[in-house]
Parts: sequence; C-alpha cells; structure tokens
Amino acid sequence: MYPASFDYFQAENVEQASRLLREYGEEARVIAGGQSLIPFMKYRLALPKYLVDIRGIPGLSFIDKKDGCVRIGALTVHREIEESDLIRSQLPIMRDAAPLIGDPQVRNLGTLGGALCHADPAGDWGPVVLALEGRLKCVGANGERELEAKDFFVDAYSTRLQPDEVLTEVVLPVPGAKSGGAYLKLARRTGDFAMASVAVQLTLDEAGVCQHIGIGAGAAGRTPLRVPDAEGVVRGEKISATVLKEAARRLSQAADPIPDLRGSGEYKREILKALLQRAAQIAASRCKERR
Amino acid sequence: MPDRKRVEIKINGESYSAEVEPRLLLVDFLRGIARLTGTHVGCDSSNCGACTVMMDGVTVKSCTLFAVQANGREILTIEGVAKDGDLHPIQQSFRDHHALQCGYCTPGMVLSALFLLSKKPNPTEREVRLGVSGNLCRCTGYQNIVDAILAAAKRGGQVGRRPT
Amino acid sequence: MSTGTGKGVIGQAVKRKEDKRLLIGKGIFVDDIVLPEMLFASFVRSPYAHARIKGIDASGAMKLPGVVSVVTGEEFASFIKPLEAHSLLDTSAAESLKDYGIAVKKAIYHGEPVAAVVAVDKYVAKDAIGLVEVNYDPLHPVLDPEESMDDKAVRVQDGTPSNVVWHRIFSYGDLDKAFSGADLVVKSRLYFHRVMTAPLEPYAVIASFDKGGGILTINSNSSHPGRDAFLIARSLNMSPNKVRMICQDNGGSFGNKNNMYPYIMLVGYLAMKTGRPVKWIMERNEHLLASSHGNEMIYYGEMAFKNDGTILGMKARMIADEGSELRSEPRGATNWIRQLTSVYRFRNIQMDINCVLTNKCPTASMRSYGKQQHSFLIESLIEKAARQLTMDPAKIRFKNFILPKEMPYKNPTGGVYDGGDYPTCLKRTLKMVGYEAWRERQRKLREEGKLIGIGISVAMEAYGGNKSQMALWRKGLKSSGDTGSAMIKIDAEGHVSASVDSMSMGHSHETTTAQIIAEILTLSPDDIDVFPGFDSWITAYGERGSGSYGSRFGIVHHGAILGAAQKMREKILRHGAFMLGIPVKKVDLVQGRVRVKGTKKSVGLKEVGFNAWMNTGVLPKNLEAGLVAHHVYNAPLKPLEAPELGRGNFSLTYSYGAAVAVVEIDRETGMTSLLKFVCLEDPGKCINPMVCEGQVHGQIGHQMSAALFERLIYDEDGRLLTSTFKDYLAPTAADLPKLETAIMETPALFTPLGTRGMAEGGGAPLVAVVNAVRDALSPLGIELENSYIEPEDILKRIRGSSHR
Repeated sequence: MYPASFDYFQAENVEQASRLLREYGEEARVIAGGQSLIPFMKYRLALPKYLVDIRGIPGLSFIDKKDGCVRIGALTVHREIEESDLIRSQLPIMRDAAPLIGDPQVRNLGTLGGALCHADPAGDWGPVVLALEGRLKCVGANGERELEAKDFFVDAYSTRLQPDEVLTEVVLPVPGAKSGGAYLKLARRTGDFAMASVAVQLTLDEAGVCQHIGIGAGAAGRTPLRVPDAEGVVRGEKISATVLKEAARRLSQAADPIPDLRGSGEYKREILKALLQRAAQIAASRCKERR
Repeated sequence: MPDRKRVEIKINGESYSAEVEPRLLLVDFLRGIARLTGTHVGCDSSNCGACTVMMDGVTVKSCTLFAVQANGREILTIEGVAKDGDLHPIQQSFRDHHALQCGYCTPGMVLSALFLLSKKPNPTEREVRLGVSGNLCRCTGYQNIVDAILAAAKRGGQVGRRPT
Repeated sequence: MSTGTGKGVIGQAVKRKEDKRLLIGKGIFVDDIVLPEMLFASFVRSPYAHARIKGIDASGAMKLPGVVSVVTGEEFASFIKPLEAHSLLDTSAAESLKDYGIAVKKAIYHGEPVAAVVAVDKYVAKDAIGLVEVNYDPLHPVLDPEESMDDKAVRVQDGTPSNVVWHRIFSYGDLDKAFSGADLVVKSRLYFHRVMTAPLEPYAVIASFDKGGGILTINSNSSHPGRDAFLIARSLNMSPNKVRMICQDNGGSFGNKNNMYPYIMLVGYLAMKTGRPVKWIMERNEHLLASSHGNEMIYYGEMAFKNDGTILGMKARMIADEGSELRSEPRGATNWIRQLTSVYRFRNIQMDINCVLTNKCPTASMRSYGKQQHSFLIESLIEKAARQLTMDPAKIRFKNFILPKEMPYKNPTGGVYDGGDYPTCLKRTLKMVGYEAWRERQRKLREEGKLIGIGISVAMEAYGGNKSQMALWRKGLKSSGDTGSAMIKIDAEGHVSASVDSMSMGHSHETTTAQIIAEILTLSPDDIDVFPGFDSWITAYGERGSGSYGSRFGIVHHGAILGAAQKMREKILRHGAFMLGIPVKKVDLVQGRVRVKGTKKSVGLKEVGFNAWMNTGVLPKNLEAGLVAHHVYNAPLKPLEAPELGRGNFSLTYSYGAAVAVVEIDRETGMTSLLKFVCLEDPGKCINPMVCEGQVHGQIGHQMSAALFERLIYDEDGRLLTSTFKDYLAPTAADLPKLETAIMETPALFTPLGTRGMAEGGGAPLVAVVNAVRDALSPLGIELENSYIEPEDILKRIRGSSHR
C-alpha cells in the first residue's frame, strides 16, 4: 500500500499553517501525528494534494493548569497524557482513556488534537472531552475562537473546524472535590477502536446525591455522543442500580451506533448500557476515594 | 509530480541524505535508501508493528510516517541495537527464551521491548503484554516473548538503555 | 577441533543457530534482495466475486512514466498452460477446470488477479493499477456451499457439470448395527468457519530469467519449492531443472505458503517477458483476499452411543466449501481419513464428502489441514453426548480411548498407530489445569451467577503423509510413500556442512539438523554449518515433494539427516582407519577424532578431511575419495490397499495431544475471557524440547485465535470484509492468556529416531476453547454449533435463553 503523490509543507507557526490551508482549500489536509491520516492515504481513501505538517510548530505540546482548567496543547501525544502526573491527579478519567488508544507506537506519535479533528465516531477522546465539558481552541484566518466540545463534532470524520482553522488547545475544567470520573471501552481486540465506550464524570454531595454528571459515549452514533437525557435521570439522585439502569436505557435510546463487523447497532446499544452502569459505579467509587 | 524534498536522517548514528518524493514512507527510506533491511513490513494498516523503529527515543511505526516527517531526526533501527557484534541484553534474552521463530516480527518486537523497559524497568506480565501490543507475532503465541522480556527486566541494570 | 562430544545432543534444548542473524536485522527475506535492473510487479484485482471480463484497457496505465508493461489474464493464458492441479482430478469436472492463477474470461472471487502491471518502482506500479480500466459484467455470486450444490446453481467455473466437483462416500464397519443398537444418537449441523494462518510476511517472489542459459531463477518464500518447480515448469513449457528455486529466511507459513505457485508462475512469466528481474511483494490486503484460506466446512454429523458413554459409530455428511479453485484440494477434504476415528476405539464410521466450489478465495493447506475440522466434528459430538448423558466430559473420553496395550493399533482404514498413551495424556493435562479444583470453583461461581466453562479436547494429528492418498482422487495413480533428502559434506580442512530439502519457516531446522549430525559424528552442533534455506541447485536433491508441510521435517527429514550422518560416520571411520593403518572395526569416533579403540592414538577430522580430498593419490581402490554423504530416507509406507474403498495406511505417524481451557463469559456483553489454558502434546522423541514447546505455543496461538478472534467474512455480494489486520483480528500479546504447555515423549514406533512430527495440534486448542464456551453456557440450555465464538451471537443466545 503506497499513497498517491502529494506536496508537503512544514508549517513553522499556526498562522502559516492557516495561510497554506486557505490557499489550497479542499485539496489540503493538516497532518500532525498522522496515525489516522496516513493509513487512510495508503489505502487511497484520502487523497490530499497538499499536506500541511504542523507537528513542528513550537508551543502546541503542553499540559498545564490555569484558572481551574487543565489545558492541553493540541500536539500533545497520547503517551504524554498517559504519563502526566497532573492528568493523573486532576483528570483521572483521561488516564483511563489514554492507554486504551491504539498501541504504544501510535500513542508515541498520535496527538490529542489530531484524534479529535479526525473525529472517528469510535475514537476515545471524543466521549471523554464531552463528559468533561471541554472547550476547543481553534485558530484561523479570522483569529482565535473557542468551541464547546458538544458543538465540535458534526458527523463521522467531520468537525465544526473551518477549512483554514487549526485546533490548538483543549481546555478542560477540573471538577471539584467529591468528583470522580471513569472511562470504559469495549474492544474486540486490544488497541482496536471501540465497539462501544462510555465516559462518566460525576460530582456527588456529602449524602451521595449526584450534583453534576457528564456522560459521553463513543461508537454510539456518527459522532461522539453527549447524553443529557441520561444525565438528567441521575442528577439529583443517589447512585443506585435502578437509577443507572434507567440512565443506561436512555443512553441506548439516544444512541444510533453504526453497525459493522464488530456488531449490529442493537448489540452495541446493549454494550453501551452495560458500560454506562459499570463506568458510573467506578466513577462513584472514585468520588468516595476523593472524599 | 510534486517536487522532491531533500531529507537528512540520522540512522544509528550515521547521516543519510536523499532527495525523496514526499510520499515516500520512512520504512522505504530505511530499507531502500539506507539499505537497512532489518525493519520489515507486515501489514500496511499500522497494526503489525514489524516496521517499528525508534525516533528520537520513542517507538514509531515507520510504515505510518513519511520520510519527510523524519527529516532532521534520529532513528534507531534494529541494526543499531547490538554493539560490536554483541547482542543487547534484550536480544540475548530473546535468544535464551526462544522468543523468536521465523524472526520476521523480531526487530520490531525488540525495539518495543527496549522502549517498554526504558519506561518501566520492572514491568508486570500484564504491562509487558500491553507494552508489545503494537507488535503482532504469528509464530510464538507470545508466551516466550513475554518471558524473555520479563527475564531481561529481572536482570536489572541498564537493560532498557538505548544503544548510543 | 570439536567443542563437544555429541553425547546426548539429541534431546537437548540447544539454543538456535538461526537467532543471531534474525535478532540483529540481518536475516535475508525475499524483499531484502535487490537485483540489478529489477522491476516491480503489482496485480489489478477483481472487485467482484463473480464477473465476466468484457475488456481491459491498459492504455492509460501505459502512458504513466515508469510503467514497463501491463499483462492481462488473456495474454498470460496465451503463453502458459493451465496449472496441473485441476487436471489431476478423476471426475468429469476436471476437463473444465482451468487454473491460470489469474482471471481470463471471468473473475471468480473477490481479489482474483485480472492483470499485472510491471513498473520501475512499486509506488508507480501502484499508481498504474488505478489506471487500468477493466470492463466487468457482474454475475450472480455463489457463496453458500449448500446452495451451490443445487443443479440449478450458477456455475463458479464455466463448463463444469456441477459445482460439486468431487463427491465420494467412504464407509467402514457396520453403521446400521451401530445406530440401531444405540441408546443415544446425537446429531448436529456443525460449521467450521473460514480462517487463515496469516503469516506476518505475505507471499514474495523475485523472478529473473537468464535468456542465454534458459534458466528461470525464483527467489521466493514458498514452503513447497520442490513441487512448485514442477508445476511452474510444466505451465511455462520448460524443464523443472531450468527452474531454480531459492528460498532463504521466511516470515512464517503454517501451510499458507504451500500455495503460492500460481503467483510464482505469473511473476516468472513477467520476468521472461520483460527480460529483467521482476519483484513482487504481496501486500497484506492482497494476502487476506487472495492467497489461500483454510477449509470452511459444514458437517451434518451423527454419533451413536451406549448409555455408559461408549461410542458405537459416527456418520457425517461433509460439505467442503473449497472456494473457486482446487489448489491443494481435495487433500484437506480427505485428510480426515488419515485419522478417521481419532484417539477413540469405535470402528463404524461413514463420511460423505462433497467438495463444492463457491465464489470465494481458494482454500488450501493450513496448519492442521482438514484435521482440526475433523476433530471439531468428533469432539463436538462427544461433548454434546456427555451433556445429554450427564457424564463428565473427561470421563466419556477415558471410556473410549484406545489403550497403550493395543498399540500398534490398526484403525478402520488399516492405518497403523505408532504407539502413544492417550489416557495418560489426558490425565496429565487435567492435572496440569487442576481439573477437579476448577470444577469445584465453577460450581461456586455458577451460584454467584457467573458463566464459567471448562472445555476439554483430545485430538489426533496424523503426520508423515503417504503420497498414495492422492489415489483417492486420481484413479490408478501409482505414487506412494514419502522421502526426505539430506547431504553432509566435510571439506579438506575438516569443516562439516549439511543441507536438507526442507524449508524452514521458523521451525529451527538449522539447529535440529546440526543436533542430529552432532550426535552421530560426536561433535558439538556449533561445529556444523547448515545451509540456511533451500536452493534447488545446491541443497540435497529431494524430489518434487521438497519442502516443509504436514510436519514432515520431524519424520522424513530427520530420517534423511540421520541416514546421511551414519553414512558419513562410516566414511570418516574408513578413511581414519586407513590413515591409522588398521582395520576399520578397530577404530571408533570420539569427539570428532578417529581413535584406535582402547588407545589414545587418533586422527582428527581435519587430517581425515585433508587426506580424503587432497591426498587422494594414496587412497586404495576400495576407498571412495572425498567426504560427501547423501541419504534419501524412504518412509516405510505402502501403496493403499484399496483406494476406491479408502483402505490403507495413510500416515507413518499418529501424533496426539490434549488441551483444557477455562473461560468466563460476560453476561452483559457476550465477551469471552480465557482464564486458563493448558496443552500437552506427544511428538515422540524431542530433538530439541525448547523448539518443540515453542512450536506448541504457536499452534495454540493459531487455534485459540481462530476460535475467539479470527474469521474471514464475506458480505452478501461476495466481497471480503476482513481484508486488513484492522478487521481480521490477529490478536496481540495482550489478548492471549499465559500458555501452559508440556511435552510427553512416547517414542514413535516406525521412525528411526522415534520422532512423530508435531505442533499442528489436530484442533485440540480450538475445540477446547469452543467446548469451554459450551460448558459455560450449558446451564442456560444453549448449544453452540459453530467453531467461531462471536460475542454478539453469544449475548443473543444468553438473552434468548429460557433458563436465564
């Protein structure tokens, strides 16, 4: 498998990348880690005429905390998230997800921003960023703007990014005390894309009543899914099997998974139910741990 | 036809420079231009890891990277792992534990093991299995590979060191 | 000179000779070879399972700079004769079956080659593929083998009277009596799914043609180069002597690379046509689409039992989905006959074989070829009976084993079992797994609602195949037996080297060959250089069988190496005795030195080698100059007694093993996890226990993965959906459990070293996993009849069960 010919540019900064993207329009693609794009190109499912490589742009690979938010540069590779102490202490749900992405080699090159922009319906970061109510910072010809994660995904492999925009940063509010999150994924084989996945971020009060909840689901439709309907069932309630069962039912109703070799839509709905209940229980137990 | 680009890549400490098509995969640069054929191709879909090399100290799949992206970077291939004819302790452990049969996956597997032990000098069996989960082997059922890596780790010291 | 004595080298876990070059990245695989002026080939492949080819327009591709040639199937067919395999079949279908290795007038499976492009570089060849315009007229694809059997079904191959290209019924004993006198008859429709061993290195060929000498040199990773040379030469109208087959390091085969001769022939033709060396490296998706798949089988099986679990008889109708061409077939569809009753004592058995064409990739040899399918049939029926009789699945097997005291046991075809101890094999396996303790744990966990299963399987795997088996489908065929060939040379400085007409694909042939020679010549294995790979012009001449398949290395090649080593030992002693001036009976070989018995007076190999080659003027007439020993081992196998009745001894050795799997099934997702897996195998005498155990690991890996991960899936249009490793789920280290294995060595009775061949497993690991899942689901009243464990299917059945 060998890709078709293309021309290649190394952008030195975001402005230059944006300019190149504007110049070449639909025929150009951004490449960061390339771990999703290159296989597509080798199978000639993607045929960009121009590649704009942003991997060398300085200042886009970082993890820090500011104003109650963890900020992660778009070029941060999955492994750095997996290994980050800040992530481990502030956003354990991301520590759940990071090691489940691809395999070590993919995590050494693949980037958070690249994965989000690739917008694979079964990707791992989508549900997590949704559950955490993250924001995505994008820079284009018209300057910088922030998109809510829930508004970012449009369709399978399609996002709200303008053709000349580059995702530069992901901003994730750090949940307060008595919070816990968990991400669970079912894959047919280690490192595969999810058959289904669920991210749950919970905040409980002293009495164990849910104050806040974010639920994101992967491989549950054409985009990562935020499920307000299921969240509503849990909010204001104590975490119980009955409550979670109902939330799971709502999730499976909201989901419209794409059938594939790993299972029918109906089957994936069933798995989503199981994963939601399990993830929520883990998240709840983590709330207790943090108390 | 787009312009060729000049790339210069340091491989196992030696510089290689060539004008290449932007679409040339790093693995074809290594095998075809540098004539280092220990790095193999087994799948095209970034699943099998036979093409694994290290770039700036981390493992990558050289079939899922363009040579132009590796411009100016340092690559370590299997040919650079043994020094002066002496097997690296991980290679020796592979031999001692019969962790290779046909040997096609072995170069990539050894580099993944090296990277794993550089990050986790005392891995659990589970960590070893996950550490090489980006490398498929069709001969061994993985058992002896896992045993070889665990044994190499037990020997301690500088097993995870990268050859310099 | 020697660093060893040779004593006890056979049986030692000697470290491998092969390892160093492979570990430092200096193996020589086909794609590592670069020849001057070399071109690159790539194939245009059919996107349809079944389509008439109305025309091919290559003009666009030819305009692309760097493209040298585009060759269509039609052009190939005008220069080459169809491959021989089909014409061997003794049915009326044979005349219509013409296999050129490429589609000529119609494409008959998804991925079949339609045209070849030759270009200066592989990237350009790939670009050109997209520019070859093929005008297809899609036809109805025949995908279901049972539908394909219908007289009215569309024919896969034009002109055949039926898609059932071979049909035969073989019967032994008294079926009526067995079934009428039975307390219990279990029946199942069993399905063995399509799977492949998918070696990590796909097919690879470099062909170069020397016009002056008329020699076609093939560098390939074929595992059966001897046979390939004959097939290719015949199709290309040349002498097999002019086809030089070279193979060196090989990235795995497991039966798969037995079947690459059509491609070798096509690439050979491209080299002859262009006059330049042509390299073709198959890509992974091509390999999954269009190399060879394993046998896909449907069985309608019935087994008759007494209430005490005694098996009285079995009858089955087999529908073998052969895919679109018969390449190694119907070997796989008849391999059951070599071990028809497996390790069990029943004598009444009938098999109705139907070899059926469909519009899918041709099936051919795959590790445990046709035998794991047969084990799946037998072991599934026994398992079902055990449940119905509420007998422990181990107990029902013990009830039916052939016992050691009955060895050598003659099975219903007249096959002679070469020793073994089946009850001890299972006993030891159960002990390894802690069977009783697991049953106890299972009872407890079941009370907690957990779905825990323990699966047992015992399987036979017959090796040392008799060529006479081909007489089953070729009336009057006079071939029989099997041979292996080995050659040892000692040069004028005493260096020992050897070559064997086998093909090592991770099997460690260099190491074990050296061990056998070392033992006989009282040397260390380090003293012996073994030719890596195969070169039909250099390695010991075998015959068209040369290569490695059916685990024959441990049988015919061990016999050949041993025979050559013994001949060499005689030569060394005779030369040494001559030099020492005493009769040969007064000398002995010790640490590679010819020594006068009872003294310290001796001459070393170095002196003996020098004298034998460089001082030949002094040699007496009756002493042959030089030190070369060649031996062709002739396996003691007779022609079939009655091929039409399926009677005779089909194999020289009958290996066996047992496996136990423990699984847990997640009630909410249908996913199966392996909690424990043990396997024991009896390969007879082990030359190198480390290598033997490694081979067992590999065999488990394949069969366990076949049950839980790997499956080739065609859609309703006959398009293969699993054409990359993204969808064909070759598992990672993190997906497989710890493998606990052991070897038991009961010497084989009929081979010179007591070796039996090994490591195809006969299906035991696969069936153990399936039986464990069956056991886990048995409280829910669920019966599984497929060899593949599909999580969605499992969940559906759990949800659908009335026993929830």
